[in-house]
Amino acid sequence: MASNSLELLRGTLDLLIMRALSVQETHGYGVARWIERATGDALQIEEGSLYPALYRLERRGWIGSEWGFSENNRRARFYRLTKRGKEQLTTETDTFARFARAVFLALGIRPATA
Amino acid sequence: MSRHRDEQRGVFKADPKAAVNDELGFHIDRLTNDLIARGLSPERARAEALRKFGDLERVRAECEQLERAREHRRSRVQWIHDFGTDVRYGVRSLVRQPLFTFAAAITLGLGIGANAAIFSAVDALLLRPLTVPNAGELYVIAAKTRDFDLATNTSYANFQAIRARRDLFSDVVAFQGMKFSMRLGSGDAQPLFAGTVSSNYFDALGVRTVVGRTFSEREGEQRLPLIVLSERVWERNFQRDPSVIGSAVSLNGVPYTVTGVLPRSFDGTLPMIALDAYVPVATWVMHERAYAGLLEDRSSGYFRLLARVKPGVPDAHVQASLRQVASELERDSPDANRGLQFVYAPELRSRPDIAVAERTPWVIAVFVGLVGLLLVVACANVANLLLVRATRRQSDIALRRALGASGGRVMRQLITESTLLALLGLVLGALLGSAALAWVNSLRFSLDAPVVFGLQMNWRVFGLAALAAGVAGIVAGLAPGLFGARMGLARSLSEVGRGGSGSRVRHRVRRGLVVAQVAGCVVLLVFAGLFTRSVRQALSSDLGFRTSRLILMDLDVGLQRYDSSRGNAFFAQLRERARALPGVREAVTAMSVPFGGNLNSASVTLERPSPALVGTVEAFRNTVSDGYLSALGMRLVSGRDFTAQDDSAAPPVVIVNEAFAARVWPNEDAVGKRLRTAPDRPLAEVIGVVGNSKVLFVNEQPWSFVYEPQTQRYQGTRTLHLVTDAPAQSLAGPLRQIVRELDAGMLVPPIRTIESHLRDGNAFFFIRLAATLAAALGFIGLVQALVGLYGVLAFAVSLRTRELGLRMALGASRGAVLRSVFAEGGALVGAGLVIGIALAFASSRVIRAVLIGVGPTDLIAYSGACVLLGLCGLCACYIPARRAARLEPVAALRADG
Repeated sequence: MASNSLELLRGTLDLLIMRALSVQETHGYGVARWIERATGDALQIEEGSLYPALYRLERRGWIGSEWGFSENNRRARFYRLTKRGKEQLTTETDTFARFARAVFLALGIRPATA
Repeated sequence: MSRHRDEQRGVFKADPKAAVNDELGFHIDRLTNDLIARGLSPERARAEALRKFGDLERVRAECEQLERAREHRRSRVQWIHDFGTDVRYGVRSLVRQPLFTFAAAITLGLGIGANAAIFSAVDALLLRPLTVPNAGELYVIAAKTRDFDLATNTSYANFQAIRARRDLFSDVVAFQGMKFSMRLGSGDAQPLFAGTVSSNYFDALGVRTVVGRTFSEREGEQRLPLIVLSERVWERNFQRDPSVIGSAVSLNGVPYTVTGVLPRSFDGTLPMIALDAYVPVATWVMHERAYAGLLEDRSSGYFRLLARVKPGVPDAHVQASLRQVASELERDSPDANRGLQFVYAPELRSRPDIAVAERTPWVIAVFVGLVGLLLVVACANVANLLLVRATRRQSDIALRRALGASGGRVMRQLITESTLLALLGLVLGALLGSAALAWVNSLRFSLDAPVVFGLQMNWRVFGLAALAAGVAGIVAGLAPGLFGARMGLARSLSEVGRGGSGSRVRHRVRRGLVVAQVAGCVVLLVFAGLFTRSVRQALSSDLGFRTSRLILMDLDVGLQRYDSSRGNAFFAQLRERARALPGVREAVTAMSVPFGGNLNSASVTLERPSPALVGTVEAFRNTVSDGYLSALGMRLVSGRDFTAQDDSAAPPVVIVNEAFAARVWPNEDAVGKRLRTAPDRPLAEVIGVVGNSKVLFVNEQPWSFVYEPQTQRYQGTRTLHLVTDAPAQSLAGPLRQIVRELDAGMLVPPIRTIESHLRDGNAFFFIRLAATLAAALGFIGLVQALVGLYGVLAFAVSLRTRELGLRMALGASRGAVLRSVFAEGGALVGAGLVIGIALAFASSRVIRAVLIGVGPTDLIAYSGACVLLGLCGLCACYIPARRAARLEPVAALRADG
């Protein structure tokens, strides 16, 4: 049961990262802050787990990265969504929405705004 | 916020550990700072940040692994990307300078191609062992006698005596090639050049068939009519039909049964001649009247011998034993074997013929030396051209370095470009080398024997030449990068424009190189000139017989099993009808043609032996028709020519040449003396003495010669000689028609002119080959020298751009600039010419012996080489000179290279 929820969480995490990068190019810290803000700090993810996820997404070619300097002039790696990443985000958002609707339906919950 | 792309991250080391550390450290520090900003104490903030981050070490480990994989991928992609860029850039810059590219590629191509071709030829003809098991055991044995001091073939009896020495040789084979007329079913007769071999031939050599079997020694001894075909004939005449085994092939009218087919890899044991088939010599002589006594004739010189020496028997012992065998043979039959000596040498060191084999390594050394030199010069030339160009581009390179491109990156770009150039040269080299070999292979000779070179490109040799050229090209390509890397950036940027002192030194080396090239080219051209003039002279020199307006046609009525009366009648009719053809002045016949392959010798015994000469006198012999000597333009010194009345009923007569008369009767009149041309021949009276004529070589000492009338000594193989003003082609059809009308089954070979007979004969073949090769090498040398000259002058002009610009600004005319470039080029060519002529003068003495009719200091050859080189040199100067003259003074003063 625990590993199942982790799987679910990882897929969801990828989706959230890509969504964050579709808003703006930023570094890992920026992604963490966006997710925190956007979910109302409800998910309580370990921020360290963002990085392996970022690296894997880059390997799949959905995001790209370049080194640069942050606002306070520290070296940081900046990520951006690639063209293929954008397409992937669209399909995965759609898939996730259908998945969520199906689960809500089964559980008899009426989604608030879905 | 400044950023730069990951790919350009040359400044930062691609260290995965550091990258992950930076990235994660940045996250935790930012988080800590944010928390401090929200009012936490630094310690609590740090602890909270680490808690929110999770398991730092686990994440770090995972990230490092992923980062390493990413780095690996990135560098590979980057490398391919850079490579593509370099190739595109390289191709662009090569295309933009077509003259440079062409010069460099053709230089490399010629150097590589010539080397590969010459080494392939040397390897195939002289160095590759025969394709039989344990070929290293094979030794050629040839015989010399008192009267014929040239190692050559020997008799069957001598073969058997040598073969009996089982203590020395595990076996010995005897063989010779012979022309046959082959008929398949009722088809046309066609020529077949077959080996007539001792019956142990295949067993002793260890040759296996691809289909069927070879004939055994026992079958040969029983004189069974068996034949083994070559794969070539099997394919050409039988379309590789395996059922040919056991069927009969008609050779000279005798049915021979096919026992098997030899593999293509077996080329036979005659150098450069591919035999069509093999028959046991004992069977063959049994069916051929003309050769009936061949196996018993102790004075015949028919057989070539190849011995398989027993492993471990020392050379000295074999030599001593052969001396013993020779003296025993001389004791047994002193007339046939007077002064007999056996010459004995490994098969590999007896090519192309044991008689001349000792000169072979020298010939190889000369040509290998020449082409080796050519390759060195080619490499130097390409290096030179690349340097010239690199100097022009040094500012470009310095600029790129200043803009942050790493030294390695610039280097890689240069290597890619030189490699592209080397590849282009390689392709050209492969094409040129293959074309040269194909040309040699396509040479056809008007000889009976099918000469097959079958040369193929030796790709190992090609690879070595290519490697040498490639390395030279790449090293030269690197030089500008190295200079650029070594010099301080600012210095190299400023120095390039003025041509630094370093490049002046290199320039001096380059000028020396060009002088050396011109000198080498002069030597090659002089040699080419000497050989070419030799061929001219040889073809027009006085050989003692008519060398023009003479058409030849070989006929063998023995192939139609004619007896002597039928044969004589055939030739009499043939002569009569040929003489009636328009434009034909005279038609005569003879057994052999000088410089041809069918030469015979006689062991002459005198009626009254002279005290100075013991035993028989060896002389070349020819049997000729009446009118032959005058038709061939041979000078009658005394006595009379043969007439139609000297027939079998008349008293036997002979004519000797001056050399024979001078040797045998030095102070007497030869006419009226009597001699026998063979032990079984009647005493014949000398009725005339003719002038000497050449037989084997253009520059030989006169040989003794006897002529016998065909009406008294029958000969079935004769060559028809037509003296005519008509072109050969116009006579081919009518002649064929005449022969067909006389006998429809007669083999009609193509006719040839005396000129082509001489050109393709042994005597002229090698000097023609030498002339062609020297001319080819001379041409290549010329191209190389011109490319080198052009390169150096172009470089000099680019170095002097500022100076020339200044001079023009100060009022120098364009003509003066043009002259100054020509003066520099002229000085280089002049120096090269002087040195080259001195070298040619010193070295052409070496080839004095091979030259015909020209001295090693022939004025025409020398002046021709100088004029050719001088004119071409002026052309090579023109392009850089024109560039200099077109300089705009203001632009030139600002020029940076």
